[in-house]
Amino acid sequence: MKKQLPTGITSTQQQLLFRFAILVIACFVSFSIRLFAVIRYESIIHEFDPWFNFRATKVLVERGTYEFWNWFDSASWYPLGRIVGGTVYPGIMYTAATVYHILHALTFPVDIKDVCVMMAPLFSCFTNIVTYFFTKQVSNPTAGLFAACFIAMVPGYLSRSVAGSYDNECVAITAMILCFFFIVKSVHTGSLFWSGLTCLAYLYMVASWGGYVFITNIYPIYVLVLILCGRYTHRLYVAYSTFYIVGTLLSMQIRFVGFQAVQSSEHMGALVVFLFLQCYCFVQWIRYLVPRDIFLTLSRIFWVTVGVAFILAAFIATFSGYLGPWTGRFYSLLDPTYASKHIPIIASVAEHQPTAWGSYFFDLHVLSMLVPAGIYFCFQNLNDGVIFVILYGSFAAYFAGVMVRLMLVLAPAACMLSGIAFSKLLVPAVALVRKWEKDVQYSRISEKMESKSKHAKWTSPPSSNKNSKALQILVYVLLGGAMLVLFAYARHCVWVASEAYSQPSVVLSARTSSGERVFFDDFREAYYWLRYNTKPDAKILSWWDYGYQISGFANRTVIVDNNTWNNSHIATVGRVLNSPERKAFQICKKLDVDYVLVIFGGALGYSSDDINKFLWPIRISHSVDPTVDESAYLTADGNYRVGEGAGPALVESLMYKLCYYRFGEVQFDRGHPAGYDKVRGEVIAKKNFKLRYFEEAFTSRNWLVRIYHVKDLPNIG
Amino acid sequence: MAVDWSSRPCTWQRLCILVVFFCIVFQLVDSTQQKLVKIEKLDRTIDLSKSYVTEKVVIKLNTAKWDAFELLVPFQQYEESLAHIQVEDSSSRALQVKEQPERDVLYRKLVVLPNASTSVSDTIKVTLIYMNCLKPKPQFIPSDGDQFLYYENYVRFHSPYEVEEQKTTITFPQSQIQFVDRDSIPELSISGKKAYLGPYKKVKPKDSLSFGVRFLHNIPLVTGNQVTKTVKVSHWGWLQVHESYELENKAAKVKGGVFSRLDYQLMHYKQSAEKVVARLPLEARDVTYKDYVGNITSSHLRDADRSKSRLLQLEFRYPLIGGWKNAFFIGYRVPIRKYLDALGSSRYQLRVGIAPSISSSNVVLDHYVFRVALPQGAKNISWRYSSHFVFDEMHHETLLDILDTRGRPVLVFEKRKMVPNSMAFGSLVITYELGVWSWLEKMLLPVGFFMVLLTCISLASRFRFRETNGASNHSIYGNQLYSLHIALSDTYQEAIDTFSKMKGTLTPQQFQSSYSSVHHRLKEYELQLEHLHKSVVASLGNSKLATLANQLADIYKTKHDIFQRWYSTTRSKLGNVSSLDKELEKLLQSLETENIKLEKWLLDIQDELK
Repeated sequence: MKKQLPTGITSTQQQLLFRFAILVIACFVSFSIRLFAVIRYESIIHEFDPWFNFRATKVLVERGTYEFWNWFDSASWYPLGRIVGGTVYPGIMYTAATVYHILHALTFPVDIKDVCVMMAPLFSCFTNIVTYFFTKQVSNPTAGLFAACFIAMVPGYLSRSVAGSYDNECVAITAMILCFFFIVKSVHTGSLFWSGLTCLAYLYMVASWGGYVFITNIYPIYVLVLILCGRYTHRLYVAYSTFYIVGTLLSMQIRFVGFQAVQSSEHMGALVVFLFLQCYCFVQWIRYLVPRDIFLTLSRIFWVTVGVAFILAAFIATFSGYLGPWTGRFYSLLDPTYASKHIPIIASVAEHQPTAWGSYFFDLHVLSMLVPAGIYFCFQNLNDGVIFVILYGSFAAYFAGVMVRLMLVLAPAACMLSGIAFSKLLVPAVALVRKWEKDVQYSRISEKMESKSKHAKWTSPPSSNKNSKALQILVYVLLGGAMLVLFAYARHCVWVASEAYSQPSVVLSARTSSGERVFFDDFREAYYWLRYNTKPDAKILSWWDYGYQISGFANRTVIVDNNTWNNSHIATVGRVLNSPERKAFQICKKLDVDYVLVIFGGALGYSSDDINKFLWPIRISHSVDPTVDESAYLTADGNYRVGEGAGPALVESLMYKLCYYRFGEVQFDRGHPAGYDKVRGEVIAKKNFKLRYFEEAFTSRNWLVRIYHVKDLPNIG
Repeated sequence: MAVDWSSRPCTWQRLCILVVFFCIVFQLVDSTQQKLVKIEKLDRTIDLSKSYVTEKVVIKLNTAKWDAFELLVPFQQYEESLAHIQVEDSSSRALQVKEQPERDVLYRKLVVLPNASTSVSDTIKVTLIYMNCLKPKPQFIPSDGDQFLYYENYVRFHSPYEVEEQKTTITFPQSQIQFVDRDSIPELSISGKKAYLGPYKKVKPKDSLSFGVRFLHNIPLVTGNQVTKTVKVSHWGWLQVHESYELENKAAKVKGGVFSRLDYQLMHYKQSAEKVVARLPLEARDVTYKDYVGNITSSHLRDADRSKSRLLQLEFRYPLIGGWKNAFFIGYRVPIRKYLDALGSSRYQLRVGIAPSISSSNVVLDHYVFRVALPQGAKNISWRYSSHFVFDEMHHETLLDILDTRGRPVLVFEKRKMVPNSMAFGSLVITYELGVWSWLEKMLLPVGFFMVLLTCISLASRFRFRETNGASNHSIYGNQLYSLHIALSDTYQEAIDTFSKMKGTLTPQQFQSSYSSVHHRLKEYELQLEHLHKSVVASLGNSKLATLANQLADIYKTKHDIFQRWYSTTRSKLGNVSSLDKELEKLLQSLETENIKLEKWLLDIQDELK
């Protein structure tokens, strides 16, 4: 049956080569599609959180591991400071530092910044490879190749892993898929080796991202489902028990997790299932030893005792405070509306909002439609691994609906399921086409033979009846359609990569009417000004969104930053911004603030500025200081406006004054009067006012960033 | 008399006095023979129109014998602001200037040695360039205010010699000039943008009357606090240049440190610097303009102008108003052909320009570091200047760059206080030896690495191949499965062949016997398959192979069923058919679906066996 090719390669080798080539191409595509960010803009760290990771990586590289663990960052959360070593997921920093040291050892003196920028594209290649093996494990190699090709450019994953988005997620997704692969592998084989590897992958995942809780919870659920399906085996027992014990011990080595791994509620599911599995195994063992009727009573007694003991233990642990309370982020996973009702600081983050329907299509394109087909095919050919994929897919789909940013977790599942669907649809079709080809050849040969020796030994099977003709058309339509779909998918992904997800959000760009690109570099302009023209120990107060960027770009002390660990501190900053000038000045002096930085888009038309975010500082400071009244900042009919009829407290607030200081004197456009705010589309309510306690220190070219100096206290009185 | 003299007791004393007297007389005669050194005429011009000060002094010496000519520079000025000093004789040839090693508290003494060829150098031209000596006064001005600069110097040129006649001309940028305590300065006259001091006759040595002047000048005083130019030489074709600048505008500060964008847009802040121009070589490529936080988008590279260079217009991220700082880098590369000459027998000569690219009239440098990184393995390095510019300090470093294993030798030159615009700095000529191996090393290193890597991979893959062929249960079972499949499919093929051969006279017995032999063989194989499946499951657990075995068993079971059914139907109508061909076609058709499954199965098993 083995075909020998002219070059002497067997068809197996040929297949291997083919697969290898496809994987390499997929890796190449996934790497290069993420470089749009570098080509369109430059090699720069994106957004907000990556700036902290980058800063931490620099500390790790320059000062070494021990200094990094002991790093107390006094330049953030002034005057509290932050114990960074114990409140950080260090996976990505260690990875980058390792790559950096390896490159240096190989005599490539690269800049640590470039290593950090290229981290995400590099790990997307690894994700490709791991996805291939995972899908191959649960289904077949064809599905694996499809999945690898899909994940190479799925927008949902791409959005978090373009070059420069040096965030935890970019390595964590690789770690997660790797962990899933090892889980399935260890459940399939029941070998300690694979279980051990699962634990190592889990350790890496825990070190990289808070999303490791997903693995901690999905594995026990998977175990329960397998038991309920009657698929309990010793392999499962070995795999899960090893994972729970070794994995938990390893995860406790990460300081940020520490004893949470055995105390917090998020981790309890795994413990409960672990205990249940021991009991189940014990019961199974008893079943072999005693007669059936005694076994039934015994098992009943046993389960009741265990159940009662468990409930008691849970009660005692909760009330004695041993178990940590459930955190808000977890509640909001279960109830999408929880956060917006109760925790303004979580609700204020755009990526914590529930997902809109449109973004499913935007982020997954055809995959969103192929997922159900994939699940259907999975059910058709059920095995342990496939059950895991189904579970993973459905959970990820639910969580993606709750929070926009968990689309990231759904994307690999969608790719795998679509890969399976595609392979199941196309492989039989292609096999049919091949067979027809063979038949045609065959009939030709037999015709020849007929013409030679009128005695036909073998009549070709009839392939020209009407039924198969219709089938033939159907198959070709299917194949052509699949091609079109894949083509559309690739086009969409490239478009998304080049237009939507490559912005660094530090540099803004727009197109002029003539199609030329213009850049607005105001953020860096202002941050760089801070870096060189303020005292080295100056304290900058700004809304927390810009904290990481200020400490990264400007190397100055900030009051709050994106690590939102202290709600009341943030509320104080909010209170500064929404108070009248005099009161704000008093708080500023108490906080030892030198400069106040606000982002103002009214002159440029940049809509995500501080004025538009202003309701959040109000709400967050209301959650701490109830005297803050949101309605005072709104118009009489309850709207949020800055123009005529704006809320009295709003017009008097420091934020308003700092943003619009001397704005009323300028006419930016010929078509609009002076003081016309381009974002809100109206002329501001109060144009001429003076600042008493603050003075303008810097305003960027397009007025996007405005920095004010807090005046000193007067010498007399 | 002589006896008399000698007989007296005090004679010896008198003799001594006499000797002393004669000595003094001779001394006096000797000094009157040689004329006293004196300056006959001294012409001084001071240019205050730029951000640095150029002082040009033309000195006419008298005809006395000058062993050396001394210049006195006040110590503070010498340390803080004297950037450059150049002395020429009447035929514009440079004279050597030596610094006196002993340190006076107040003055630094510089000695000019006349050339050996020019015995009588009656006129000496001294050019002194000072920086950092124009101070804004007042230091703080309103945002739309004008800047006044303050300058101090001696009214008469400070020298250790007597001057017969001297005068000074001062050029100002604008006519708004205020001398401090004007009445106390003798012979001062101002006309337009110029002020004249003198002429003064018979000026005594070390006359130290000084003047202060305050004048309007709205220029930024941009100073490079630390400027570094690094040149990396590669024998593979390119010269990489990287320059880093830390600039500060030392002009008058704005009151309260306030910067209002609106006022700036209304053309306030007259002392701000927004851009500088860098001159790059004509063939410069890959020009970058960056700082610590990334690219700076606001720059233009213009084509060559008359000076045969490319102009890089650099706009700062933010305007530098008085007291503000900034830092940035520029980089480019040029083909090395123009700069490197081979001197034969693996000796090379490199010429690199000393001056930094930015040499605008209002940029002065406080500290300039010039680094030349030679290729790895360069030996016997020697260097000289092409002009009379001299660096203050020099030391060696090593640099590890791409693919460097031992590090490149780096020559580091340092200079405190430098005014790039004031003169031609010429270039540094470096000669060194570089063996062929050293510069092939870079290419051989990666090639060797990949060769070793690929060899290792190919060896490893061979070893692994053997191992898997050896004793892996997995592949044994796989192979058994595969061979069973071959046997089964061969059996079917045989059966069909035999049936298709049966023609004409067909007896049911014949048909039955051939069928039952096939049937038995199939049964046997299926049993084997069943057995194998069990052992696979037992030893390998729920692996892919078990599913494969299961699938295969299923396929052949269905096939067998189809075959059996076909047999029973065909036997019943055996009498009616003459040839089995049509019936066989039917059989093949019904077996087709299973064959498709088989094909897929084959792909899988090949996968498993790889």
